[in-house]
Amino acid sequence: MAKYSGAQFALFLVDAYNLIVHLSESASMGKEEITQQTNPFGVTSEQHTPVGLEKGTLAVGGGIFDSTTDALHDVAPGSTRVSRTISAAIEGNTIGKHFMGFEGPIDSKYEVTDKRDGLTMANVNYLVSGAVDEGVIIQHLASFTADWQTKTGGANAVDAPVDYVADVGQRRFGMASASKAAASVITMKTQHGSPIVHGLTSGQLVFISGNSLAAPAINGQQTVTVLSTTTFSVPVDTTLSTGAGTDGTFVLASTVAGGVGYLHCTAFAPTSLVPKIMHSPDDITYAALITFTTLTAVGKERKTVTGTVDRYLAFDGDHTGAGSVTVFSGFCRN
Amino acid sequence: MRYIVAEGQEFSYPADPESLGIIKNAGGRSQLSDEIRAKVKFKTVKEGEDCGDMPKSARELYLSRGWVIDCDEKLAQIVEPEPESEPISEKFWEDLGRPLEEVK
Repeated sequence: MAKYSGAQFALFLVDAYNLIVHLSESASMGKEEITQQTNPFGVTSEQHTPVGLEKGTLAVGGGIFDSTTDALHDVAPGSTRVSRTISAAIEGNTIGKHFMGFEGPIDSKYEVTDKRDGLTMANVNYLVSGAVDEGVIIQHLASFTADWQTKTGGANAVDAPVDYVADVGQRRFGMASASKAAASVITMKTQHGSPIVHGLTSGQLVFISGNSLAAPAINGQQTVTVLSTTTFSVPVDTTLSTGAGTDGTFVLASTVAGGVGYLHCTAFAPTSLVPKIMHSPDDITYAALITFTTLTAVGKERKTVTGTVDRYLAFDGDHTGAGSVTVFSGFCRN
Repeated sequence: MRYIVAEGQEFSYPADPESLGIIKNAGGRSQLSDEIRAKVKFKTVKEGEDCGDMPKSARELYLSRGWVIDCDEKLAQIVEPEPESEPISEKFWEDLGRPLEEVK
């Protein structure tokens, strides 16, 4: 995993405001699952049981007090019980990097600190009563004056689609073997005495690597058919394959439980903008995943979607009229 | 065979086989160089529109998810005739006027 510093913390969007330029000392954000202590009398260690609630926290320490329009001073004091949409990223304002999204009524504690020999500072603590999501940046905060999309960004371009297979945050599942059959059957690796449960759904896409079958191999993207909680098949006839079929791992290439899209527009001059998040199983054919409400002014939106979310995610901006629009978008898979 | 885009769906894909070939060779849309991208054509189709020229692999996947509709299959379901009922036998009419005990 790469290391990051304050230099990469380039994004702190609250509704249609980018407050990053007003932060100078520290910012912290978190997602906490609420638990209740449930150990009975007579035991020597604590037990905790989740109560099914999450809590989002955001704290800004040492923001620079600034009374100009859109600054921390304007947004924070008015935040109490007002529903806000917040996106923050510590890995940089770059497509494919992770961000955290918050939405809901936000309680804030706001303190202004005057110093005799320095700038006046402002500390803000937010307590989010609502959704907390973790996802990836699909469109980094940038300005556009015409239609654009990130599906055809070009080789190694910064504006390329986000490939879920390349997400370093993904769990890598271990495989014990792949059979030689008309549809190769994969058995999960055993861990702590029992086979790993794959958690897949028939029709879901996985990306397999490191398996020893060859000619044909099962390595690469495959569509699974679930046979049991610890076995599944892929549509590759490996009857004549060479190799023992041992080992290998897979990561998910699609997810089946929907997700949440975030959109922030911090500057707007054209007539309208139709913002969309697109997804694709193969980086060739794309389908619309989320079509946000058409923008005619600055704004923000958090929109949920159900069902399958494919491997590649891209952003599409349908721009009408003259002038520049500045947009950020991210997506969080469930 | 005729395929249409299902309700609420929208697709973007290569407009012709040449474009599809170029994209496949490059390893995906995101891998096209500026020069090659200028030679490739894309099309967008929305709900209710014909998408029979969509790349086959994506079409089959989307069919399995219900995002694309196979019109021929759908039409066949709509106009499929009801199975014919058995003709009423002569014996039925004869039995109709007789006491139940005799029929048994």
